[in-house]
Amino acid sequence: MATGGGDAAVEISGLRKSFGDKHAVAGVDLTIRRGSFYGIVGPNGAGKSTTLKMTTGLLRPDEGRVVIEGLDMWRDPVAAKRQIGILPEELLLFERLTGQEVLAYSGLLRAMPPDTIDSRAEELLAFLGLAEARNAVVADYSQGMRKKLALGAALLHGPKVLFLDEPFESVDPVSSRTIRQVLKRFTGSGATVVFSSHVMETVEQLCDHVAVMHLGRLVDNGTITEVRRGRRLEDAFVELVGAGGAGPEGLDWLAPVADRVPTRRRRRFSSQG
Amino acid sequence: MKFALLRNTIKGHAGWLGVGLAYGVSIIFGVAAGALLLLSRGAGGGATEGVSLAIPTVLFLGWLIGPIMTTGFDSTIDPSKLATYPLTSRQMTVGLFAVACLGGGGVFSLLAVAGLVGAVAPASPLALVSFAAGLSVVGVSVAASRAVAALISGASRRVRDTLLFVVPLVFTSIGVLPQLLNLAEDDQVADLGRLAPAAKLIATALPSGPPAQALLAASQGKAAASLLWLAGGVVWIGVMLWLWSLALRRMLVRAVSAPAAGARDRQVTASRALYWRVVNWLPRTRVGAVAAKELRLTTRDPRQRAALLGSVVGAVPFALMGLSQPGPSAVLRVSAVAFFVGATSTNLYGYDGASHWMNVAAGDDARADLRGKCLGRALIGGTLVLLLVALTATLTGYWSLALPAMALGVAGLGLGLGPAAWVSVAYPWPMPPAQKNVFAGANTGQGMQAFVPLLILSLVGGLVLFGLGSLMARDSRSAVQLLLLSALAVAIGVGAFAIGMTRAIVRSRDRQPELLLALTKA
Repeated sequence: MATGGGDAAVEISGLRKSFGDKHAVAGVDLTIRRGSFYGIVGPNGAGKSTTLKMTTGLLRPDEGRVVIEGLDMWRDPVAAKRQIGILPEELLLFERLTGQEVLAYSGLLRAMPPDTIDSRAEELLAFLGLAEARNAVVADYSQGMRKKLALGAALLHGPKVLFLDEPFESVDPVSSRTIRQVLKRFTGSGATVVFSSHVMETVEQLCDHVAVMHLGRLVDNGTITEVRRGRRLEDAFVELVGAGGAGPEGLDWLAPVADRVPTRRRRRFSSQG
Repeated sequence: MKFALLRNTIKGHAGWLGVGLAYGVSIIFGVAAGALLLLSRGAGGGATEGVSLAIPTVLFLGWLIGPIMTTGFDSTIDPSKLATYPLTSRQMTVGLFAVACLGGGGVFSLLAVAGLVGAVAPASPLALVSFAAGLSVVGVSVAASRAVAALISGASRRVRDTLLFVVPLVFTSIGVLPQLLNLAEDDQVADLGRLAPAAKLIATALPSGPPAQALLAASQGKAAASLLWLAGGVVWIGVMLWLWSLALRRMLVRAVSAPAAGARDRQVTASRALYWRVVNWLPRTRVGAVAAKELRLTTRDPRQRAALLGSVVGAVPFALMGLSQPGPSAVLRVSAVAFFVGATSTNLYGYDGASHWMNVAAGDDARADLRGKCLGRALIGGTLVLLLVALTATLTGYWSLALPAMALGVAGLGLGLGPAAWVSVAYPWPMPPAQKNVFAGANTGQGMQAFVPLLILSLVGGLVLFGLGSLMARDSRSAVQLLLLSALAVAIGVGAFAIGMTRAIVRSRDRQPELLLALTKA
């Protein structure tokens, strides 16, 4: 059932989720236009991952509505999920399938024709630098390889909107560069990318829009220029969510190591050389 | 910390953990009561000797094999979590040893041994030796168990996978031995008696042997011998702790898995690669893909291999038992294998765990996912039944019962798999992930929650299957009766499967995120 319309790729309204007494997401409203490269930033525990999970149908919201390309995610999940690709934060792929098998499985789950799966998987594995490891099981993949494989699985069916949760977390610079190249090519075709991160530099480089989350709410959103307001994005972010921490006072015991080791232990260390 | 872990584990799951506890205690007390009954009936010195050696041996092997079979049964603290602390491996060994004895397994073992000591200890100062020997039995069992687990955890993934398959295979095969040796014949007791000296030798040679012999010697009033055996037990504990310490040192600095390079270079397309060659005929649909994935993982995932092996080795002895009794039951009993394979599939999503997000992200299709999973299981169960029917029919000459046996197999599979599909959706629980530390899993009692309905459904299904089999055996000379009963068996199997599946699909419709959430709670 198509709803909404216009040039919105994603429309989120009144999204809420609580775990017991904790309000993980406390009313999020956000519209993401087609072709955007949209970053969602926030400190740990801000509700970014929970929002993305609810937006992609992996977690049922307590309240609110999510519309993807005019399709309501929670009323017509099958049709809405056809439009999207997901790279979740916890990369829990089937450990004992090979990279090639994971792509095939992902494609067949989405009822893609086998010929299309084969040709796209071939291209993706080559582009992502996984061609040589295609027959190795995921259990033997590095973190960067897993991210790239999961990205391949998310792109295989040619989604209109791609959701990525911390895509550059624990990824080496080479894999990170490959992922950026893929994403740029993807948005170049008019598709939409939404990704969460707490690395401001990455968001500033890649995104044209950004939303700042804190304590389950959106505290600001708009184009990068609008949110920065003439400052660095990191400075704007720190101001929006509060500096946090107790300041320079306290933790006096964090003195140089030599002053901290008890005498008895130090003697033993020195005798061992 | 261990108490805090146990408290937090119990929080919110106390009810089902209580059921699990009651079940475990009932088994232990059952064993203990049996042993005491045997002794009280005046079975004589032979029985005392047998029980004194058997209980420590069973306990030792249980500690050794249990964690490997279940890949994470105990909620013991994962040593890798302590790797960053400035602790020597010796300090860790001593601490973890104490921690292991505090868990459910340790307490159960102490209870079981206390029962044994109470039964065989003499009313003299030598009772102290009996007491120490009992503690040594538990100590050496725990230390050996942890040493072996740490050795396996420190090995490469390939070695670990192989061991996690081979070790349970060797030990569970012991259950098939009596059938293979045809011990179930008339003079069963006499035949078993012939094995007694060998069993005694093996029991004594195990690390649990010396403390067990100390118990026995103390019960016979042999002070010097009991003290010597006890010293031997203490030496074994020391050796095991030392081995454990060495293994820990190695395990904590070793990579979890080898780099992906060096994998076999197979030039097949992606959609072809997912399917075993023998099941290449499966459709390239969601159902086919899920079935193909299940079959792939059944052979590749050591947890799934061990689980399948457990259900097969549990059923095959029963199925082959009929070979020693001439008659039609030999062929018909084979259907039990199908029932076991089906009925032990009560956690169809468990091994997927949090990886199930791939299915959820691709759009909710609970019907296709369940059909695919059941198809995978049915292919395994069906193939086994086919092979065993052919084997038993050839050996007994009852080829006329091959088709009825297959029909009974369909009934067994349906009666097992249908309810299992429903239980899988109604009570999903994540299996411990295959990881470096085989003790890392924490049991939250969810398995016990699924176990109760499984037990009830298995009893009902088993009775129906037994009834059908008995009728077929009675009417084995009448082709018409057999045909009618075969049709009835197939109808019952298909009906049970259809009912179970329908209930499962209704239960899981539009609830995939909740199912995923349940599978993510590790």
